[in-house]
Amino acid sequence: MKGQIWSAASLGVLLYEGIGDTIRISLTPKPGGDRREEVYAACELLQALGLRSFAPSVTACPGCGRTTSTTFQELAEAIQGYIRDSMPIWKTQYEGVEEMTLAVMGCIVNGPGESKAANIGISLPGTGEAPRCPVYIDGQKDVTLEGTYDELAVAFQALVDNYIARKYPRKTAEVARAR
Amino acid sequence: MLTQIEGFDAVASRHPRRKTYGVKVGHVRVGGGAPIVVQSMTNTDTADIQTTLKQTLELAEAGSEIVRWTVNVPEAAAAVPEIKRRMLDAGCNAPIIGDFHYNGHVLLTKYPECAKALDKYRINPGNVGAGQRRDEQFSTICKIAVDNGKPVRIGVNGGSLNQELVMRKMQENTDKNLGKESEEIINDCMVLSALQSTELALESGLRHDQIIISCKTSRPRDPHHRVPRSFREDRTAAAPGPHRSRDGHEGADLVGGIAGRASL
Repeated sequence: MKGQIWSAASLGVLLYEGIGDTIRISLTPKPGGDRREEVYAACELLQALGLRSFAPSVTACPGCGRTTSTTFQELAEAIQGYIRDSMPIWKTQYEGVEEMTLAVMGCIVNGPGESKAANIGISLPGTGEAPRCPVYIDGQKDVTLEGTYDELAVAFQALVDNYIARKYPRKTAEVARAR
Repeated sequence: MLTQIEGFDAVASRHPRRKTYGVKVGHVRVGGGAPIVVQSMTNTDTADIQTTLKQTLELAEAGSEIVRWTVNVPEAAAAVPEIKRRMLDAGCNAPIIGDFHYNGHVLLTKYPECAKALDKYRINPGNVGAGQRRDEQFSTICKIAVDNGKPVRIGVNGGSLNQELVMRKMQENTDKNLGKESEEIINDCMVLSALQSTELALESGLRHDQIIISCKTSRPRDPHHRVPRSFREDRTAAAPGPHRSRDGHEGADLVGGIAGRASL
């Protein structure tokens, strides 16, 4: 974690001052580690500062004593992985999909608010809350999901796919090739 | 690729960017108002064609818009055109930078196909040669860049600074009783090295829009007063300066939480 934080802290200041036209984050990989981590870190930093968009971003909460279930953590991670895996294809097919925002939240405190602020947000129940997961799309309550983690994951992913297909214009073959 | 849009300046109002020359690195424009370009570097043996190809394709697919390979030995220089060819065959057109240290002038001279295949040459002015040979060898690389129509990056690194320059500035600090800390002197030297090298690159025939400069340090403490200040001084010293880039700092570990941290 040290490399990312030091890089973000120092480069963030420079970027905020308008310095820099290209970026590389030098990270020391773990033995056998994934070299792509340095690319992800650079993209995340630019996206965090609002300088560029590379992939839909997922807002999740850190969890606390109200969220003893790990479902929201698993769902947030699953959807993050789904985005990363799908993005190479999506970016050739849909104009602007990288600007999409998602929220996967763990309880009633910030869940509905963050979910409404995202393009698609799901607010999972915290400890002692009714086992219902309202889903908001562009600020409006869409459906309420219930069920096991697997059922939720499948249903939420389908909502994401559906939203993308509906919201983002298809790129023409020429546009896709030019990129 | 991604959101590389000609004349894109949607973020200009939010984060005013320093004015720089636009430099074409292959088909990717760096600076001159273009979106900030993401790059990365392989850690494979460049002479190992298949392994370097595989990692390059992975990095490019992950979002690296430019990829850098070390070109350290004759075998690596000889492999460059073939890896580039296979990349293009695989549908990947990410521009490739050759990273040169110590022997770049020799490798680029002896392997003209390598010089042709690369889209930019990275020169470290701290290890391009010592004494009189420094300027001579630096110019050799720049002239090859001119002949091939390629840009260069003058990549200064705190870990491999021109030691003669550092010693001279340390001595000057003592002699003139300037009272600078050694870290400050090193930062000054990084900027000075970048600026002097830029002058030499221009004298060697490169245009402003073929030169990218960067300074990298692994000691970002008080970054607001150190490297950025150096860049500010540099700007007043050489405005309108050439294109500037910046590397991160060596460290370790996983992605995650960057979004939260950058805004702190």
